[in-house]
Amino acid sequence: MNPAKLKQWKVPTLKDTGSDSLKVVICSGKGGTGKTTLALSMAWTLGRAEGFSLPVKLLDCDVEEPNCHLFLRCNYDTLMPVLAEKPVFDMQLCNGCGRCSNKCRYNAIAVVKGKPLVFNDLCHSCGVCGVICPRDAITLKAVSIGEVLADNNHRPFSFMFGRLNVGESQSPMVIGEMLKHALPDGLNIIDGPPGTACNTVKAIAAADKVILVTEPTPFGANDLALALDLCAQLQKPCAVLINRSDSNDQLIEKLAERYQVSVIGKIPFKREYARACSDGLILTEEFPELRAGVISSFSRLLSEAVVPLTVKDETADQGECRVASASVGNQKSDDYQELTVLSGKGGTGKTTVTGAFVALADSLVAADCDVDAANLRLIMNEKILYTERACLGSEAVIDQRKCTRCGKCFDGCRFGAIDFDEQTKRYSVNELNCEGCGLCIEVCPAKAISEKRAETGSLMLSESARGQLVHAKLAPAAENSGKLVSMVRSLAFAIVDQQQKEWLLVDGPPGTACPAIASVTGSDRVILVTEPTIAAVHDLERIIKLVRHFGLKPEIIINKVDINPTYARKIRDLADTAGYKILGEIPFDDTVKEAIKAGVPIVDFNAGPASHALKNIWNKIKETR
Amino acid sequence: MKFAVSVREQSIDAKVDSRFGRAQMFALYDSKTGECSWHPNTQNFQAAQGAGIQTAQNVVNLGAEAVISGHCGPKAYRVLEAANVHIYSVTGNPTLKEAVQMIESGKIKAMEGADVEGHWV
Repeated sequence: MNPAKLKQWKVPTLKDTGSDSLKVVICSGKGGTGKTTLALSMAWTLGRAEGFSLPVKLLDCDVEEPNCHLFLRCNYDTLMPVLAEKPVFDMQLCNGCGRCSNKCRYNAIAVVKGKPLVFNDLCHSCGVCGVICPRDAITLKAVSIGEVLADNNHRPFSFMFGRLNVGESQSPMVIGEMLKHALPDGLNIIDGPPGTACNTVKAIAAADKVILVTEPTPFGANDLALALDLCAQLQKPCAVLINRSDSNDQLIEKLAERYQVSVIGKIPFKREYARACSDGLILTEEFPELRAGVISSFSRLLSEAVVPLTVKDETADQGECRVASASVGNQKSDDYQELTVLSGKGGTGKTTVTGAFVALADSLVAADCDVDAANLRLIMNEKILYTERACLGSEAVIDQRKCTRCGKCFDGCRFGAIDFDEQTKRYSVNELNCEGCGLCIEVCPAKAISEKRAETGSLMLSESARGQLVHAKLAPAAENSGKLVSMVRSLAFAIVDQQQKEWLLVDGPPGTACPAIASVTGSDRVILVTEPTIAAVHDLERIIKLVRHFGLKPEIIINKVDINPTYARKIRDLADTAGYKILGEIPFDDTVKEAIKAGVPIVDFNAGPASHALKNIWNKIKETR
Repeated sequence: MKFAVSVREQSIDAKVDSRFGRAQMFALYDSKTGECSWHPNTQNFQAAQGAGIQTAQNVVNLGAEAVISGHCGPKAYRVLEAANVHIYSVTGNPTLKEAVQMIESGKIKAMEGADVEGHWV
């Protein structure tokens, strides 16, 4: 690298990070805030900036819903499969004792009438079965669970993305494999997964610096706080970037101040930007006026990123940690209709739609199943009636008095969850990485390791003028978000029955993984909210596949329909071919943003075009109840 | 024949719960003797994943020769099939006894495959 050359250009060097290699992870508490938009723009801008002599690589680590390749339209090849080890039985040795089935925390092995059955897609490759088998009948064999794809000849930056096979659950493993291929001598821009669950932790843990993208709305602020908490916990330097910036930025700025992190840049809100994104274009390539801002944001990231303060949550959870809600076990009755609102991709307007239905329904209970980033309560102005801690997972804990420092747990753990402190020579459990598989407990010769209940999150019931709301908050990096979703619904079933209401409105989680599955099973009616953009249509196809598996016929709402007529048509064709009804189309309406900021459902806020469309949609829903 | 029936409550007049893996409890009903015992399924009701598999394993271990439920996914089906347990899918919200009668009178045939596709099969 020529230092003189670097000086000519205002693009920063990586010198102040102490190395020629840097991993910048771009994350956001919730989806749809512009994570992919920023990652693409930053890679493109820095990749072609004269004077920035380091190579740039973009890694799309949103392996459940990778999107970057749709924007790049490049020729990518499979670089390598991602392998995970799954149990294989030697039937000569197996005597059908069933210990493997009992010990498997993931319910991936069944033994019936002396015959073992393995369900690979549930297996987390923890290796417990192999360790505890008394007859050594189990060996572990590597099988493919996903793939890493790359276009190394892509310019002005090289590109790689990971894809988890449909049906698999081990997304952190795919992310881990990708991170091995980060440039050792260049800038790696990593498009992280949304949310604050285990796959996000995996990506952030590898980061040198983190950019948290948000939008200036109460929802954005709510989810940003969760992401900041996670960075504080992982001790990662981070900074905030505001997308769709407008007159309400102080909402985010105040929050950043509270956590003592910098706001390093803003991308203004413009309809033509939204349009360009919907067509799958890279913003800085299309709009040269944005390039300087991206470079300055990067420069400020290098000099200003800090670990956020640990801010104490005012609504800190109280009370005993409970294994399960008292209400678990409640079944649906037939006296009300459960309406679940979903959207494959975040940020398509799911909560705006649910919020409008909440305002329009006379007799309801609402349930916010987006436990990664619950925000329906921001619209309902609720008062929390009670909170309980949900402890659904488990974690290992090492008793230092019994530990003989043999290191078997350290060697055996597949998740890197045992830390060794060189100075004290002590082994301890890294709670963020621990999956609670129990392998260390099995291999410890001194019986020094036991299991403790891990907090999954908290479950809350709130009262508002519009009806009661059940919601939850997932603890950072907690497992079992699907289970927490089941608890939210189960409590909601009890409340709606007790109050004899007509509707149960469920705001579902984004994505297609276990929380989405948990929110949709057994629901009476599913509504998919989508928008006419290249990424949303791609994700819509995946979510349709999901609801179809449950024998449900989704109804579709197209939000911001006039943003892109081409993709709007694609959605209509998609619905038509599948035989699904388009329940309504909502025009793009600037006042929706105003209503979100005011924390008021759009239908109560004004009588504009979006409000009008939503009222018509609700009438249709009522008529066909 | 011994039937394992997913039910909503502990009563001989209970309705069949249409869910299998996440049913709240199972009735083990012996149609020869009329005896009935009750088996909670709480552990699997709350399972994060694989509820159907474990439930299937449990009903096989209870000694059931046939299962009556609403729907049965492919994973549970695989387990029950391996144990030669027949699966009867009932609709129309019948009670436990009504469902058993329908099966014994031959109105309902055993399933020949999972009727609900699992997550992403």
